[in-house]
Amino acid sequence: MRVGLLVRMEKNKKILIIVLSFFCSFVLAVVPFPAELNDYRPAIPAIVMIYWCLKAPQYIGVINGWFIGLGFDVLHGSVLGQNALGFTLIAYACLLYDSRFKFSPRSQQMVFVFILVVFYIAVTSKVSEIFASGLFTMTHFKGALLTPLIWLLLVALFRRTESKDNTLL
Amino acid sequence: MKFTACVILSFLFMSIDKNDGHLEGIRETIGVVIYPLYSVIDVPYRAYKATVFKLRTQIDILEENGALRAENIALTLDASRYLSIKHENERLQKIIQAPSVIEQKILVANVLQIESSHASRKIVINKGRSHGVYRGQPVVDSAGVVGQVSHASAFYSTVVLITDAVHALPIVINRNGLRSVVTGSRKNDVLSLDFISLSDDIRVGDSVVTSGMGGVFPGGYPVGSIVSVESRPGDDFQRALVKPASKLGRFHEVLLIELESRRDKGEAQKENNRNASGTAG
Repeated sequence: MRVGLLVRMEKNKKILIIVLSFFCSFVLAVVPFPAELNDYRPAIPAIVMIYWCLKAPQYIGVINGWFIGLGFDVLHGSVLGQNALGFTLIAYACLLYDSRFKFSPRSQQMVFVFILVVFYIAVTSKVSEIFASGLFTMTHFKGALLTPLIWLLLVALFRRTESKDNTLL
Repeated sequence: MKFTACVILSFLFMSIDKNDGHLEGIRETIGVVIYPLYSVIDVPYRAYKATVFKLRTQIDILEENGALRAENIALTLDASRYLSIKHENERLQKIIQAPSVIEQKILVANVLQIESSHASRKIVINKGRSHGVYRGQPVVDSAGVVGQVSHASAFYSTVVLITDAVHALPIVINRNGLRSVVTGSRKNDVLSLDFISLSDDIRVGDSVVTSGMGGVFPGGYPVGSIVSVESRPGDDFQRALVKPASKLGRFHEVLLIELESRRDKGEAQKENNRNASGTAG
C-alpha cells in the first residue's frame, strides 16, 4: 500500500517535470530576443521533445508529441499542424533510434540530435512555405547551431532524474 | 500506425487551416491552456517598463510635459479645424445624398511582447472577445493601419499585420484617387503594389490611404508612402513598393476600430454595452 503510494508520487513527479520543461521551452521560444540574435534562437521545444522521447518514451511518444506540437502551433501562431507534424516526425525518429541511442557515445548522441533538429527545421519551414506565408531560407538553419549546447545543458539539468540504466527514474 | 495517422492528421489540419475559419474551435480549446503563457511572458517586460517609469527624473518629466503641451496646442488647433471641415463635409454629402461618414468607436489594446514564427507577421494583443473584439476588426496605431484581427479568443486576439504575405488591403493613392490593392510580402517590412497599368500615374513619395472598399477597413486611414516604382521593359504592369506608415505593432499600444456597420447588425449589441466603459472617441 505504502509502496504503491510512493510509486505513484514518483510518477506524478516525473510527469510534473516533463510538463514544466515543456512549459519553460515554450516560454523561451516566444520570449522577445534582440533582432540581431533572433535568427540564432535555438529550437528549444524540439530539443526538449527529443530529450523526453529518448529518456521517457513511456510518457512522450508519437501521439503526445502530436498534441504538444499542436499546442505549440497555437502559441506560436503558425499554421495548425506544422509543429505537430514536426514533433511527430521527431518522436518517430527517436523511437527508431532508441535502442541504439543508450549505448552510443555522447558525441554520437549529439550528432544525432543535431541532425534531427536540422531535419525538424527543414520540415517545418518547408511546410510553412506551402501552407502559410513562410519562406524556406537558409537563415532558419542558423537556429540549429546552438543545438549541441542546449542538449548538454538539458543533460546536465536532468541528470538527477535519470537512473543507472539511463532511462528516466 | 499511430505515426501514419498523426502525419495524415497534421496535413489535414494544415490544409484546412490554410483556408482558415474551420479550425477556430480547436484553436480556441487549446488556447485556453496556452494563452495564460502569454501573460507570463509579458510580465518581465511590463516590470521593466514600470521600473524605467519610476526611475525617471523630474527634469525628464518636465521636459516631456513641455513637449506634450506644445503638441496638445497644435492638435487642439487641428481638431477645431477638423470639426468645421467635418460639418462642411456632412452638409455637402447631404446635398449629393451620399451616406454620411461613419463614426467609429475605438478600443485601446496593449501589444504583448510575443515573438511569433518567422513565417507569419502577427502580434498578440491583450483584448479579446469579452472586450468586444471580433474577427476581421481593423487595427491601427497613431501613424496608420497596422492590420486586422485574425483570431479573437476570450481575452487575447491575434492580429495579422498588413505586411503578412496573406494580407491584401484595398487602397487609394491620395494625389490622384487611383485605386488598387497592396499586399504584404514574404521578405521584409514593405508592402507591394503590383498590377498598376503602365499608363497610370504613380510616383515615389505618393501617400497611400485605405479606400474603404472591401468592407473591412474604413476609408481614409494612412497606409504608407511609395518608396520605389519599377517598370521593366516588356512587362505589362508597373510595380511599386510601399513603406508602411505605422509602427506595425512595435508600439506598445494599438487601437481597435469598431465599425458602425457591424454594430448595426445587432449581433454586437451586447458587446456594445460592455464596450461603453472601455472606449473613447
